[in-house]
Amino acid sequence: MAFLDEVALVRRAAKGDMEAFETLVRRYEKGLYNLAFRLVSNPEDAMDVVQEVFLKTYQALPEFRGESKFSTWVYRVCVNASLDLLRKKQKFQMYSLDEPLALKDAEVSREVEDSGKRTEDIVETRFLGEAVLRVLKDLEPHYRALLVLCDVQGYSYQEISEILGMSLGTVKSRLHRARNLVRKILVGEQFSPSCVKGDEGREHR
Amino acid sequence: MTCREVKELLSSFVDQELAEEERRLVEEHVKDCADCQRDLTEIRNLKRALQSLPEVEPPAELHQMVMSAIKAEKRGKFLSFARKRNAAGEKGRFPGLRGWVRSLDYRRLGTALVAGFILVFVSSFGTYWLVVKRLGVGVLDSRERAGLMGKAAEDGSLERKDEGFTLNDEYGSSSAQAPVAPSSGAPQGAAEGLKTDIAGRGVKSLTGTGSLLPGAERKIVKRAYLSIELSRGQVQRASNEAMQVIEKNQGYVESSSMSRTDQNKEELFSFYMTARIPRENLDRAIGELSTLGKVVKQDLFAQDVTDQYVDLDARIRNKEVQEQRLLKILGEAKTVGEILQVESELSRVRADIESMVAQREVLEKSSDLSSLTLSITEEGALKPSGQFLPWLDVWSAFVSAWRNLFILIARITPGLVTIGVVVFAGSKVLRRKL
Repeated sequence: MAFLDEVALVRRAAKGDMEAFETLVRRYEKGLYNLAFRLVSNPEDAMDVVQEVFLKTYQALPEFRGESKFSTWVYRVCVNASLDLLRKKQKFQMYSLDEPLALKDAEVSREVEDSGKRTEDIVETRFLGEAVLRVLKDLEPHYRALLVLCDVQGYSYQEISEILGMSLGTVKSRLHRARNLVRKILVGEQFSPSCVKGDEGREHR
Repeated sequence: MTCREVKELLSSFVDQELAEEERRLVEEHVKDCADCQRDLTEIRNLKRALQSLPEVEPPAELHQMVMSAIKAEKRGKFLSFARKRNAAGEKGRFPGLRGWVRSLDYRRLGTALVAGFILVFVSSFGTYWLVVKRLGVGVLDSRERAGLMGKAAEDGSLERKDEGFTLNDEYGSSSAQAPVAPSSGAPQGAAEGLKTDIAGRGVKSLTGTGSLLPGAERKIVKRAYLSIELSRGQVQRASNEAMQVIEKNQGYVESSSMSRTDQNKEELFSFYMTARIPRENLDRAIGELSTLGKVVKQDLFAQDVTDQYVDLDARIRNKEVQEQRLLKILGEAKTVGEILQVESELSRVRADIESMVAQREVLEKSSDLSSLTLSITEEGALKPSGQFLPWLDVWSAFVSAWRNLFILIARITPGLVTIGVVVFAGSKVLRRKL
């Protein structure tokens, strides 16, 4: 029922019905803001992103054919806008999973090393989520988007693959790699002094 | 199932994205494998940590901000040449000037340009059509003509009023004017004729000064231009007739020329003459000349030189009095030195008088004798090929329209750029504040 209702709303908005569009805005602004906030991690940028998303959506609405759900579409626009903003804002250093990760002095190989220490020891506080996102900031933005969509927003693989425009298989394997990488970094940061120093440096940025 | 395979699946397992069979396999493996179990816990904790992130409440102004941005966008849509941004947002926003250029919607821009081009073309053609077909010959000609016709009419009425004066006055002072007439009739009056003339004038100035008081007699110099068009081969005949008209009206021809031009293998004759006609006969002569053919242009100019004339006359009289006094002094002179001194002064005064008299002569003559310029052309001599060439005029109107447009653009660009910069900076500041 909700879906049908939304189709009608979108159709009306596409014809220039501001009221219908405003209803859509009201429906999605919170979700989009949360997604954007988790991706760009500051409120001003998140607001900018949300505004841009609705602008783009509004402009392109007449061309929206309804091949995908409206929600999928806006989330995709939102992810892209956020990643764009990140790319623009911090000409950040890109870490690729295919290369060994250089963390200041220490080098972490791609394989998970068995330090004998358990991530669960660290993974206690709910601040860990923030820590994870902070770690992800320096990774390729797509990994960040994947984890945010999957864990923070709770989307299914199918939905994520539609939002990010990648195949199910890619979603699966990239999530796997992203998680391994995060674990690796968290473990490394906790126990290697040089990495702790590196972490401090990161925090001061 | 090996550990390695299981580890690959753990992430999906945690996300509950595994098929039933795979899920069971992983579950069974993890039960027995401590290492995999540890990994599973870590991943689970990681997921939980992210899930536990609280949902943030968007700032209260977000909704308003979004809606006003969209309304602004809706308003600006009509004039915006920016391409609709890719919905998928692949390129997203285009930053900077290069981005702006890239964001241009060329189809829309092109359409606008073509439409503008056509609009200017059509309007220049329309203007031309209106002016040429409705009002007369050429765009400028017709305007000129309308203005000058009005002026000529004004001059005519003015002149008629003045002539009332002149006529009365001339009757009143005919005796005094009498000696002047022959000298003005024969401009080559020579030096000795001039002297007697001056003597006569001196008498006049002493006796009938009243007639030269300001406002009593207006001296008006009139010039007339007439341009006539005839059909082919008529110019010679018409030029003879024109000369006869001048003669009949007691005028004389100052100069005349007949010229022939070859155009498109056709001979075109044109005749040009300037003549002098007594003022009172000018209107009649113009009327008679107008019957020769189609009048293309008729201009009349009148210039009031009364002030000049009166001023000159007064100065002459002063000098003449001075001369008389000098002559008296000369008669009483005793020494050669005195005589020489007075003589030199006398000759200077005499020279002044003569030059001023000559000037007055010219004024008198030109006010008594109006000048008439007549040009007779054959049909087709004015227009290059004798046929209607609308495209040429349309083209020139078109070109000038574009030229003016570019001049306009060049003139307003600095202002627009300034405004643009201010608006841009203003919007940036505003946005930051929001």
